[in-house]
Order: sequence, then structure tokens, then C-alpha cells
Amino acid sequence: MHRVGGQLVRGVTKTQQKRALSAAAPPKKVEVFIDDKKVLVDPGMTILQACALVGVDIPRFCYHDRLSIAGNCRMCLVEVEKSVKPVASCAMPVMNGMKVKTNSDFVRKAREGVMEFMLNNHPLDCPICDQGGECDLQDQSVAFGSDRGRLQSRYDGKRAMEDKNIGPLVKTVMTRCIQCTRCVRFANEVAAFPDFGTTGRGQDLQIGTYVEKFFASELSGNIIDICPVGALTSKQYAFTARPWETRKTESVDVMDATGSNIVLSHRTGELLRVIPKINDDINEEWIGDQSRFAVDGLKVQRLLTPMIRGSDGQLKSASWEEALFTVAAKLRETAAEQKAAVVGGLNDVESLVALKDLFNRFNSENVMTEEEFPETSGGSDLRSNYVFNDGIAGVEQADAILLVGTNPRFEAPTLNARIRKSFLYTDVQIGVIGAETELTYEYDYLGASAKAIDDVLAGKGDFAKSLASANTPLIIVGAQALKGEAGAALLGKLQQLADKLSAGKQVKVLNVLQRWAGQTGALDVGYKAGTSSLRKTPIKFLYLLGADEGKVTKANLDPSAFVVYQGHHGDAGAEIADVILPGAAYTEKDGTYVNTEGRSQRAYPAISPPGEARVDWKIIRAVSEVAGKSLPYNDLKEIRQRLNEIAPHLLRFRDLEPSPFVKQALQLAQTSGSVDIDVSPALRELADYYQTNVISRNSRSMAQAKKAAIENKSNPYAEEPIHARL
Amino acid sequence: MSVLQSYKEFQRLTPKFWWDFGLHDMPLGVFRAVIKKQFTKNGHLTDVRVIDRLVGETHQHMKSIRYAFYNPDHVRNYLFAENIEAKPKDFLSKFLNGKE
Repeated sequence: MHRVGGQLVRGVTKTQQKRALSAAAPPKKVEVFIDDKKVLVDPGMTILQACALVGVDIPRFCYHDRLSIAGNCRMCLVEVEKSVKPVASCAMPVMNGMKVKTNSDFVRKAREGVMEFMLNNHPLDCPICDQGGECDLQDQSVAFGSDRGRLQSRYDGKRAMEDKNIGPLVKTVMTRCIQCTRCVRFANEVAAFPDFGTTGRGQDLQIGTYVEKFFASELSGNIIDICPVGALTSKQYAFTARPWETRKTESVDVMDATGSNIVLSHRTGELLRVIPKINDDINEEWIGDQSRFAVDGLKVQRLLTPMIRGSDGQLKSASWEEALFTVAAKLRETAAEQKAAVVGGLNDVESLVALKDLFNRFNSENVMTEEEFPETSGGSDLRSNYVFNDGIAGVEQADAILLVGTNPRFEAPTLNARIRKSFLYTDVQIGVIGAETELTYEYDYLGASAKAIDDVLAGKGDFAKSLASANTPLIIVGAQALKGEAGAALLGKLQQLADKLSAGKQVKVLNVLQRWAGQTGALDVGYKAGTSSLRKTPIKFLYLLGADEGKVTKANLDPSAFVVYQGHHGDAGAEIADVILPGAAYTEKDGTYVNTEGRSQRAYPAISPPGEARVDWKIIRAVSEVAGKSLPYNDLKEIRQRLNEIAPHLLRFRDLEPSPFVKQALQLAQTSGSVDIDVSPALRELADYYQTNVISRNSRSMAQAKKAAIENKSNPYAEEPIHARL
Repeated sequence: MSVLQSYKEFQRLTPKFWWDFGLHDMPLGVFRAVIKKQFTKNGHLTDVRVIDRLVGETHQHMKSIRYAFYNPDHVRNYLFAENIEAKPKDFLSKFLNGKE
């Protein structure tokens, strides 16, 4: 089995460089000649990386930037002067004065030979293979292979393997496998699923889970992307489209608050699949399974036409004119203090701004988010209180991490992959206050109660000592733990701790991990956090913008209350609505999303909203005009200008906007007394992960995955949790 | 110069045009004025390339009229925009038409 042994030979990353610089003098560069071009590289780099520096792309199958080096495909052979045999460039470190030839006759012959062996054992089923058109083997056999092979299948036979069942998300065709072991390395190193490995040798080498079991990981879909051939493909996308037929649109994921960058493939107005887009600041090149597979939920249970609840209590389809008029009439006749708007967690900033502007025009400030956050002692008034101050990439620099009331594995899988990366390659110490769940790294469990923070503050216990002595300590607190008065007290405590730890250091230490993609944006443009203020006065007009978590029910409102629901799915919100205005999902509109770090990102529409549905901010703009107080923007440019007026950082796409006033936040916070609340996160095991929002709740593949995860618990061969093993 | 020539040629064609395409609901004089307006509305143009293009198009129009490639509905739509619904201009009508 492939396990990670010690420090890897990797390309020197920025962070490592920084550390090296601060620790000692910069390392001496090594002189290498690649195709007679001189290049200076860091010692410890491989030949393949050195070639990449001068723009020479070496063909490869098993080598992957973000995984350890296996060197088993032999495709990256190059000629090195004074070496008798060709050298596997992905595994060979550079040496001073090395002369490398990447395109000599010798190299070409070696590659052709490797290619021939690979194709001997690979089926020629490209026409029915899902990888066709984006297959590394296909491309490289055209570029480097021979035009004929010497296999005589009548005599030699053709290798074939039985397919494995590894769950409802990933399809396996093991005959196509070329044993590059990328998936095995990914499973062991990134996903922490050690059940995935190899058996047998040579021709009989097989990849799999030894006994049939579910690929129990929230990152399992990524093995589809890293597989260079069609051995691992998406079950959802099977036999759907070829890459040259599809259009690709860059977008931002909304399934968690990290705002992973994604590419949406679509054809003829139909969304086909989601693949990750590389962004080293956020998701590297992974995305969680929910982000990848939940898109089939966008075709189910959609709201297609405006609806009005008739006198018989049934919702009936109506025209936009009727619906807008009904909403506008109610909006006008209700007194300002009896109006309220509640927004869910999947909204783009444009629609949030439009809705807040609309309510402000009607003298109401009663706009709030469904997700709670403390209102007292600073609360969401200071931005540093609710964003991930040190940035997601900052996790890699940390040498001690305290997780409070969060399970990053399921709340932000890509962030968790980074924590695991630091865990594997640095000696980071991790402490957890909350539930003792299976994370993908070892940690010190400090208890379920927030009381444990007092001990950390006082420096009691091993973990508290390592946190206190850390150069770059980090506290990650889940937004779920921060609600109400107790949440404010908890935040105060953590601010106190962060202040103590950050003294004389560059980091801000305290980081809030939000759960919803739209939450940071909503707080940035001035929404009140939490629905508690709604319960104080009887509300007669309630506007729900994608609020589907059922935090507000009819019981919280005046009996004669009129509820408007605007959103894309018929779920909890639409159920209590008197008028439904069908909106667009994140794949269907130009949207700005602010991730948990406070980084603003732009998503482009891949397809148009289905049926009579419209882009969300335009619906609100139309309501405003019918109600007689038109909002002053008619197109995307103008509303973006309005965003710029409110908060210019919203238009500085991809930049991380730092949040000042950490000291002042501490002064405002209540820090006295001890907080004794249970901060166990809601998502504790894999089955909890798959369906956390309205899109994934309607997704068939997510339901199947959840079922598989539940069934997997009773599998006698299921791996014991890492934490229990230790 | 070429504009004037094509204008004269068009006006010589106009009675046949008026008769063949069943435009008798207006007097011939009025229809001549309509045709004249089609020319004068481009009076502001100075770029020779644009003018030449329009003259060429005029010749194509005349050919199409002579050979009856056009039919009366085309002509009416072109000259009076009779059967064409106006495009929505303000935000709300665009929204209701699904253009936004």
C-alpha cells in the first residue's frame, strides 16, 4: 500500500520559500542545461519541474503536481548526458551541470516503446469511453506513440480486469486502468481514505478497495479528474457528451463558503457537469462531491412560473404582471415596521443589494440573513469578526490550529484538504473543541464545551502550550457555534485568546468559517444576522429570498401575514408563500459571491433560467417599479456600480480584502465570565455532508451518495475512524 | 450624383410600384413623398463608401420590386412598420417580455 513516507521532494512553493528565507540564507541554485538552454533551479527539484520552468512540457501519466511522486508510468523518460539509460524525469532530482535532452531520437524511441506497452494492455474502446477527447493517453499516443503495435491479441490475449463498485458517484472501468496510481495517492494523501490501494504485480496489478466498499470520502469525485484515462469516470456524466461539443463557463461554487472555482460544462442550454478550476488561493484543484455532483438537483423541483395562492389555499400559476402587482400592492400597504425580508445562504450580492435597497426605499431596515451571528458586542459591524481573516492559503503556514465548533471536513472540504496537507508535510499541532469526529488528521480533543477555551487561555494542557509557542497560530471557529448571546460571549473569548496569541505576529489568528456562500456578502452589504429581530414585532409582510432552511415559519408571523418567496426551488420557503417569484440558480446568473475569507468572486451564467424564471436582482428591480419606487439601476453594469458605492471591494474580483479593527473588535467584545455551551457541529459524519442546502436536497446523486454512506457504516470491512485508531 | 440618378430612376418606377403592390389606399403623390423620405432620411451621410453601399441597395430594391420578389406585406412592413411590434424599451416591459 502506498503511504506517504516522510518529507516529499516537491517543487518549492511560495510558503516554503518564505520560510526558508526567514530561517537561513537562500539556498544555492543549481545550474542545469535543458535542450542546451541554461537554467538555474533550486536543488531538490526534479528534472521535470526544471523543464517546466523553461517551458518544456514532458509527457507524463503518473506524475501530478499535488501528489507524491511514484515514477511508475515511465512516460516522462528523458536523456541525460553520461547516463546509459533514459531517466524518469519526474523522480530524478537535478544535479549541477546536468545536461538533459528532452527531444532526441533516443528519447522519442523510449517514449514510443513505453506507449506501445501501455496500449498493449489498454482496450481500444475510445469511441465508447467517457474520457474520449480529454484523455491523456489518447493525446499522448497521437503525439508520441507509434503508428502500429506488435501485439497479436490472438496469441497474446488482451489484459482485462473486473470492474469495481466504489459507490454511486464514481464509475470504474478497470480494464482501461494504466496503473499510474494517481487515484491511490490521492486517496491516501488528500482524501485520507487508506482503503484504496493496489494488489498484485505487473500485468495483474489491480487498483481498488481490496473488498468491495464505498469510496467514503467527501472529495471522491476528484479521482475522476486526476485519472489520466477513462478508468474512473463520473456516473452522473456517463455517456452524456464529448468535451468538444460542450461550452465551458467559469463560475463559483455555492455549496460551501469557500467559494471554490468551478467550470460549468453545458450544451444546448443544458448543464452537464461541474469540474474544478485551479485556484491556488482557494481550492487548489479539488472540489467537494457536493459541489461536483449536486447540480442534478437544479433540474428537479424548480419553480418555473410565478404563483399566487388562491382563496382555496392552493398555489396557482400566474403571469408576471399579476404576481408583481400583488406583491407591490402588499408591499405598499404594509407599514414599514411590519415588513421584513429574510435571505438564505445561496444568494449573489447583486440580489442582496437590490432587496436591501428596495426595503430601504420603504423605510424599513428589517433585512436579515437566515444564518445566525451575534448581534451584541461588535457582532457583524466589524468585518474582522465574521471573515476568515488569515485566508485559506494561510492554513499552510500555521504551526498550531485550534478548531472550535466546526467540522471543516464537511463544512469546507477543500479547506480541510489544506489542513491535512499541513498535517502531512509540517509538524502542525491541531486541537479540536466540539465533536470528536473523524477528521482527516490527528488532533488533540479538548472537549465538547466552549469551557475548554478557558484552559487554553490559561495555558493548561499540552495543546495550549504548543498553541502559545506557535509562530503562526490559527483559530478556526465555525459560524454555527456563533449565535445568540452565548455566541457573542464565545466570540469574545476567542478574540481575547487571539489577541494574546497574535501579539507581535503577522497573523490575525481568529478566523470564522462560514457555512453559506452568500453569508459574508450579506453581512458585507449590511444585513442583520439572524432572524431574532423578526420575532419581536408581528410581521405582516415577509419577503423570503431563497430562505429555505425553515428558520422562519408561519408561527413566527402575524396570522394575517403575507409571505413572498423568491428563489429557485420549491422547498420550505415556497411552502409557506402566498406569492412565488421564480428566480435563478447560481448557474443561471451573473453573480458576485464573497467567500468566507472576504474574497469577492464573479460567476458567469452558463444557461438561462428555466421557464418563466428571471434573474433575481431584476425581479426585485421590477417589484420596485410596480410598487412605485424604482431602483436606479437597469442593467448589470449599473447595479455593479451600486455595489461599488456600497463597498468597493465587491468589485475587486479575486482580491482578498483584509479587515482592520481587530483591536477595536476586542474592546467591543464581552470577555468576562466563562462560556459553557456545547459547540458540537451539526455535520459529524459523511452521511451528513451530502445534503446541506436546497440544491443538494433535490439532487438524486447526492441522495444516493448519502444512502451509500449510511449503508457503509454497517459494512463490516469499513475502516475505523482515524481518530479512534490512534 | 449617383444618388440623384437612382432617386430619379426610383421615382420613374414608383407608379408601377404603387399599382402592383396594391398601395392605392394612399394617393400616388403621398406615396411619392414616402419614397422621397426614404432617401432624405439618409441625407446626413457624407462617407462615400456608405453612400455607395446604400445606392447599391437601392438598385437591389428596385430589381426586387420589378421582378416582384417582394410582396405587399414586406413593403408595408419596411415602409410603415405596420405589422412589427415595437421592441420593449424600458426595464419593466423588457422584464415582462422576458428580454431581461
